[in-house]
Formats: sequence, C-alpha cells, structure tokens
Amino acid sequence: MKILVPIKRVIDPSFKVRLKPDHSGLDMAYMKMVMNPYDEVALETALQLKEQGVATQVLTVSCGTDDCVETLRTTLAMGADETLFVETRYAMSPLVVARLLKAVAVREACGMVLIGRQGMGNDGNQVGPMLAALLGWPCLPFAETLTVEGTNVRTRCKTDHGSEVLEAALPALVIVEIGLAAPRYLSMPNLMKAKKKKIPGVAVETLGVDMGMDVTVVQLRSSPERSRGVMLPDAATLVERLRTDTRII
Amino acid sequence: MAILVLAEHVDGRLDETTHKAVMAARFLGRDIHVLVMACETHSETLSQQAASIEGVTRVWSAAAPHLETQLTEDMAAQAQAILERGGYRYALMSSSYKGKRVMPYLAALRNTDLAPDITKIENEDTFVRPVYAGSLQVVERLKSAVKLLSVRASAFPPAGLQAQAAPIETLAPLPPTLAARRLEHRGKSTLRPKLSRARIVIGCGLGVEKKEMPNIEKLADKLGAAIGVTRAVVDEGMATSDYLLGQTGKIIAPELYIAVGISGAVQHLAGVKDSKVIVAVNKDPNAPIFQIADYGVVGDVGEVIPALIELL
Repeated sequence: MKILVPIKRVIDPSFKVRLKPDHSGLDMAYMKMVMNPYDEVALETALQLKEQGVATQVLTVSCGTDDCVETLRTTLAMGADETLFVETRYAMSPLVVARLLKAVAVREACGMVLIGRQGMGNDGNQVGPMLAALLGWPCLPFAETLTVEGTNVRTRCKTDHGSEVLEAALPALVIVEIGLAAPRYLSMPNLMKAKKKKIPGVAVETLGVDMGMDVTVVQLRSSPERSRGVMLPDAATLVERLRTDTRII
Repeated sequence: MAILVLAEHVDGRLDETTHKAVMAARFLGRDIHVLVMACETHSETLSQQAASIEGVTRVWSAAAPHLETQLTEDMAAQAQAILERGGYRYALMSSSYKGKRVMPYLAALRNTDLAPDITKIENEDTFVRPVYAGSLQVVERLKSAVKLLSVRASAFPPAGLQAQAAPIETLAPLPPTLAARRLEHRGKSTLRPKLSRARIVIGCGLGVEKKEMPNIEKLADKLGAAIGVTRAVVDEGMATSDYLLGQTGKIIAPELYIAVGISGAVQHLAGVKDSKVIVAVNKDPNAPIFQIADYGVVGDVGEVIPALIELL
C-alpha cells in the first residue's frame, strides 16, 4: 500500500508575523519557513507504518511555488520514498488544494492519506475533511493513535467531550493530531543523500483540476491588541481589585 | 431565504455551541432552521430544546440509530439533502471538533469553499477570522449561492429561549453511509465545569510544579473554575491534550482567566486572549504574559496560590 502525505510549507510558528508597512500582505523579511508541524507528524506516522510492514511506499506531495521543493527535500531526508511537486502560481483555496490532492491520490493509486489537522498560521482545518469527501473515503478525524489490522485502520480520535475509537476499511483518510507520533531527527548522511535527489514536478494543468474558487481574501489586518494592565504587590490586593473592579468573584 | 444551523449535542442534551451558532445566524437573517440529527431515544427532547431557542423558526428532526455516532459522512449527507431542497442562503455550525470535520466535508460535497472559524460577520458575504495565533485577522468574501460557515463559539453569546416554540418537522433519515464504525467513546468524567463553558478558568504553565497541583485544584474548586494547561505541560506528560488551551487546543473567552506560571507564548495567548479579564501570576517580572494581563502579580506560585485560597 502506498501512503500519501500532503506537505505544507508554513512560517515557523515560533516567529511573530507582521504586516508590511502598506498592509498589502505579510512581511516575509527575516521569516523562517518550515514544514508544517502537523505534516511532520503525519509523515513520521507513515514512515512508522512502512517500518511495520503495513505500507510499502510513502509519497509526499506539495502544491505551490518553487519554494516547496526545499520542504519536499526534507521529507526525503526523513525517509519518504517518493515526492511530487505540483507546481502552480495560482492562488489556491483549501478546496482547490483538496482537488489537486485527490488527483494525485487517484493517479498514484494510494491506499491511505495521512494529513495534518491544520496548517499552522492559517489554522483553517479544512483540506483533510474536504479531501475525504472528494475521494469518497472514510474520514477518521483528529487521530491520536493509529493501528492498521489487515484491511482496516483503527484510530482513537479526539472529540469535543473526550475521545472515540473509529474503525474503517481502507482506503481511508486519517487527519493527524500533533500527539500521534514524535518526528525523527534528520541525520547528516540522509540530508546529504536527499540533496542529490531530483524532485519531480508536475504542472498543475496536467492534473485536469478545476482551479475555480468561491472565496477571496478581502483584507489581512492586525488584530486589536490587549493593553497592558496594572501590576499588583500581592494576593490580597489582587482579590480586593477583582472584587471591587470586576465583581466576577 | 433561510439559514440552516446544524445542532450539536451530547448525552441527550443540546450543546451550548448550538445556541451560539443560532446567535450568529441571527446576524444573517430571520428564518432560522435547526437540523437535529440524533438517535430515536434522544431525538424528541433535543428537537424540543432546539425549537425553544430564541430566533429559531423551524426544527428539522432526523432520527435513526446510526445518527447516534455522529459520523462526519452521515451528518454531512443529511445536511446536504436539506440544502438541496433549496431555499437556503447559509448553513453553519460552531467550529468545535465536530464542526471542524463536518463543515469542510459538507463544503466539498457541495463543491464550494467555506468560511471557517469566523469571529465576526462584516456583512452578508464577508466574514472575519483570526489567523497566525490571533495576531492577524483575515477578512474573506464568499461568493457561493449557499454560503457555508463555521463560527467560533467563544466569539458569540448564546441565544436565549423563546416562549413560543418553533414547529418541529420530521425528516426521513438517510441510510447510513457505513464509512466508519465507532467501537468506543468516552467523555471526561470531571466534577469541574467544562473548559468551554466555565465562567472562570485557571491556566497552568510549566511554572506550576507537580506538587502545586493540589493547591491549583483547591483554588479551582473555590472559584468554580475549570483548569486548562499550555502545550509545554502536555508535552511533559502532566496533562492530556483535552485540557490544552491555545492555537492547537481549545479557544476560550471566559469572564476571568487566571494564568499561573505561564510565560505567555503567542500560541497559548491565541486560545485565551479574548477572555474578559486576565490575571497573571508569574515569578518572572519580564514574562510576556504581563503585557496583556489586566492584573499581574509577580511572585512564587507556591506562595501566591495558597494565599489566594486563604483569602477567597
């Protein structure tokens, strides 16, 4: 079985983002780009399934501009067998990304998709369920554990009130929570080997996908900031102020 | 043109997120239909609860054994069947874990985009949501004929009750999609209020040592507060991710948030910065949390918390 792991390139979540002075977009100067942490966990999970003999191949894919190649190279250094770069300069909504990923999953005859819950930064939580719907595969959302037995995949999934265990027949799509696996460290020899590999690209036009979108970004703006309050000397003053100023306690 | 709200419930009770989603719907129009999908045992009670939410004009009730498990595929298919009848301008639910899986799935079934996790409705087709751990907001416009939204529950107050209940109409349930089977489910058993509903929440960071936890719990009990934690605490194995507050966990807006031993990383603040009043207790006077706290106390957790318990 081949596992597809979609990879998104995101701004390092530890960096504080800013707008350009003219508010026309994000100020990308001094920003570091990394593989989306959730996707790293998804890839690690796929690699472990391969090591267990459940999967035979792990394929990573990214949609976007040339910059994605660097992130895809990291997936090869981690241990992915193959990678595919879907090259496009068009703006893409989450549904367009899901359509592209569906085309890849079908073309590559994948038996499972492991996808991160959200892209850090945009935090939309959209592509996973959309891709499951487009493929018509069972959607196992927010998985914190995962096992494959025979032709079934079983996950413990986070819910609003606790958790549940879901089981579905393959092919299936699993949405990965951050706690599912701990991504491995990259070794220098593997990094060097990955540097020499060619990253195959596919032009978006060849996938025959509708690139139309129903959503447009009107504006990106700063959130209103909370202002700094007062420092109090001790617990007694705090209780007094909470009682008189806020009346919450 | 009507608005469809997908109801959420647990253990036979309507979740407050439904009331909040209805409130969001009231900003969009006056004809609000609630879709209740449940097993036969709970269906009637839940439908009655939905019918009495202020602003609701009709309840669609679909009852079937398989709807108890609330699988993504079944819920989305049932909602899609109603939308296909026509007459709807919007469909929405809260951006809970359930909403985060059902709404995008429904959007893809309808071959349309979604405005997810919105905190504000600018006008009939333009919506605001926080991005980058809440440091920025993106304003998005949807052009689909039926606009799909998920709304951040903490950003909308719950709708109240109405004296005249809305009519309830039974809907033939669709057969199960059989996409997945639920083998087991469990809720958290806790005597404390739920994080998403608590008036007061105490957040614990790595500055809270294990030996301080009994005192934190004592303080929470005195205040009737829920307890949440930061990512670092989850990573240390001191709490499960059910209690995680922040960009990758729960997003809350209680009346009072007490951050104890929390430095104030932007990922954590994303989950709590809309709290009405924020109190920070930290021994490091330079901790970033003090920059957004309404009241700060610099001090040792081991001393300040017992003092608070004493005073309350």
